[in-house]
Amino acid sequence: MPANCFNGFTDYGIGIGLRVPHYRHILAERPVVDWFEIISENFMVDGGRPLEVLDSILEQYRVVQHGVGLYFGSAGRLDKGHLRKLKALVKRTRTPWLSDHLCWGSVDGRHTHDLLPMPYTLSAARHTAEKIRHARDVLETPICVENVSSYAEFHASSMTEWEFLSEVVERADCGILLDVNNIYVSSRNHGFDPAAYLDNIPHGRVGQIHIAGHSQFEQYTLDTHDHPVLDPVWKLYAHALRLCGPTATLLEWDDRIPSFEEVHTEALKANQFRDTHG
Amino acid sequence: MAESLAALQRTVVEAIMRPLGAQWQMRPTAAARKAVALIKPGPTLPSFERLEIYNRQYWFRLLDCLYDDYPGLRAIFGERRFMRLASAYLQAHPSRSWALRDLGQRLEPYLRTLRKDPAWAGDRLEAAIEMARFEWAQVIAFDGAALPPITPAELAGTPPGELRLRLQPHLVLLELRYAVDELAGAAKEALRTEASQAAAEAPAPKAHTRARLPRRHPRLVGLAVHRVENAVYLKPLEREAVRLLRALRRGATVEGACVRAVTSGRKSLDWPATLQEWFETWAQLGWLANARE
Repeated sequence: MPANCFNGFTDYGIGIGLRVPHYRHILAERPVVDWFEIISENFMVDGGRPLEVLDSILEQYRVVQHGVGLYFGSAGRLDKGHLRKLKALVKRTRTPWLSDHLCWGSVDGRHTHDLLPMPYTLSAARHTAEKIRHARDVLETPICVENVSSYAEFHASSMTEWEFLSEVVERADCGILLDVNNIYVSSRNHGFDPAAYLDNIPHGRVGQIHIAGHSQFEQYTLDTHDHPVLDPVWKLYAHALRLCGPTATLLEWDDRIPSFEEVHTEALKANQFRDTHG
Repeated sequence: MAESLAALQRTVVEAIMRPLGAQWQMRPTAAARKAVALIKPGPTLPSFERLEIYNRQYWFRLLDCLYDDYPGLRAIFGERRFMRLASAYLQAHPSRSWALRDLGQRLEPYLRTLRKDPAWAGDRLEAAIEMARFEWAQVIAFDGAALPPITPAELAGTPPGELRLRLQPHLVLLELRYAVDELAGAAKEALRTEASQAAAEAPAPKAHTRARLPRRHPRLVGLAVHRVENAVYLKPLEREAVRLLRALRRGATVEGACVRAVTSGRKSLDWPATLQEWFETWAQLGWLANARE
C-alpha cells in the first residue's frame, strides 16, 4: 500500500490512550510507548494540571489528538470557540493528524455529549463533508473521521453506513480513523457483515485504526471499552491490515482501567497481527 | 437540507433528553413516540428499545458527571434527593458547552430559583447554594488560566494611585455563611475510603448517603479557592481582604481599593501593617498580575 497524506504515517506503530489513572506511572517510569492518543477536549483548558501533564508527556512522546466534540454531522455550524481552543492545542502538541467522529451530538446549542448516528443520506454526507473541510482549513491539520458504534438506524437512510463513510471522506478529501470494534458492535446490532464494511471503504484513506473491548448483552452489543479486545475484533483487525497495510493502531480502554502494564501488553498484541498481515 | 437534518436531530434530542422513568426505562412520551417513528427496528430490538439505549446513555453520563463533581452537594441533600435535583437541573439547563466540565456552571443560580419552592426552601437549600458555589470554584481553580505574576519592578514603577492589577483567573473569592469546605472535605474523604475499600473487594455501607448540614458560622467568612503549582488550595481571608481583592478585580486602582477597605473595615486593625502583609502574601502566591497582560 503506497503511503499518501492519510495513510502515510507508517512509522507510527501501536499507541495507547493517555488516561488519568496512568499519569503517575508514565511520568515516574517513562515506559517505552510508541505514541499516545489524547482526548483533545480534556486538554482544551486554560491552565493547571492537565496542561502540565501534557507538556511533560510531549517532552518524550509523540502525541496524536482524538476529539469527541466537533460533531461534524450536527446540522448547525462548527463552534468557533471550540475550533479556536482546538487549534491552540494542535499548535501545542504538533499532532501529525487529528481525528473526531462521524456523528452528531448537538442541536440548537444543546449538547448530548454522546456520539449519535447519522441518517445515511446524500444530503447529510454533503453537509458533513463541508464541515470537515472547514475544520481542516481552520486547523491546518489532516483530519481523520471515525466510524461510531451505533444502536439505531434511521428510516431516512438511503445507503449503508460504509457507503456513507466513503461518500463523506471522498467529498471532504479526508482520512478515516477505522474503529474495527465499532464496526463489529454495529454489525451485531444491525445485522450486517463486518467484512463487507471493510471491503467497501477507500483503504488508502485509512490513517489510523482503533481496537477496543465491548460487552455482549442478551439483545444488543455495547461499546464499553472496559475489556480486552475480543477474538472477532482481532480477526477484523487482521482483515483491515490486509486491506490497508501497516497502519497506526490504538487500543482504547476507558472504563475499569487496569494497570498501565496490562493495557500496554494488550495493545502490543496488535504487533503480532501487524507483522503477519500488515 | 440542513433544515431536514436539523428537524430529525431536534426530534431525537427532545426524546433522549426526557427524564427516564422507573427502573431507568424510557417513558412512552409523545416526544419519544415521535422519535421512535424515525428509527428502523433492528434484528433483535424494536425501535423503542433502540432509542432507549441513547436515552439512558444521556442521563447516565450527565448524572454521573454531576455526581462526581459535586460530592458536597450530595452530602447536603443525600443521594436520592441529589439525583432528583440533578435531574431537574439538567432539564432546566441542558448542557450548552462541548466541555462536560462546564455542566455545573449554572447549578448555583438554579438552586437560588428554588428559594420560591416550599419543597426545597430553608437552611439546607441556603447551605446547598454556598456548596454549589464552592464546588464550582474548585473547577475554575483546577484548570483556569494563569497569568504571569507581576514583578516587584512593575509594582514599584507605578504610583498606587495609578496602579491597576489583575487577579489570577483561577483565583475565586468567596464569602460563606456555612462551613461548606469542611463538609466537602469530609465527603471527599468518605468517597476515597469507599473507593479503596471497593478496590480491596470489601463492600462497605456508603458513608455519604445521609443528608448532612454544614456548620453555620456566626458571620460571613472569606475564603479563596486558588491554585499553587497546579494543586488546588483553600485560604481563609479576612472579609476586608475579600472586598479589597474584589475591588482590584473590578478595576479599581490599588490606592482606591485600599482606601475603600480601610474606610469600610474594622477600625481596630493596624491598617498599614495589615495591608503590607496582605500584599506581600498575595504577591508570593502569584495572585497579582499586571492589568495590561
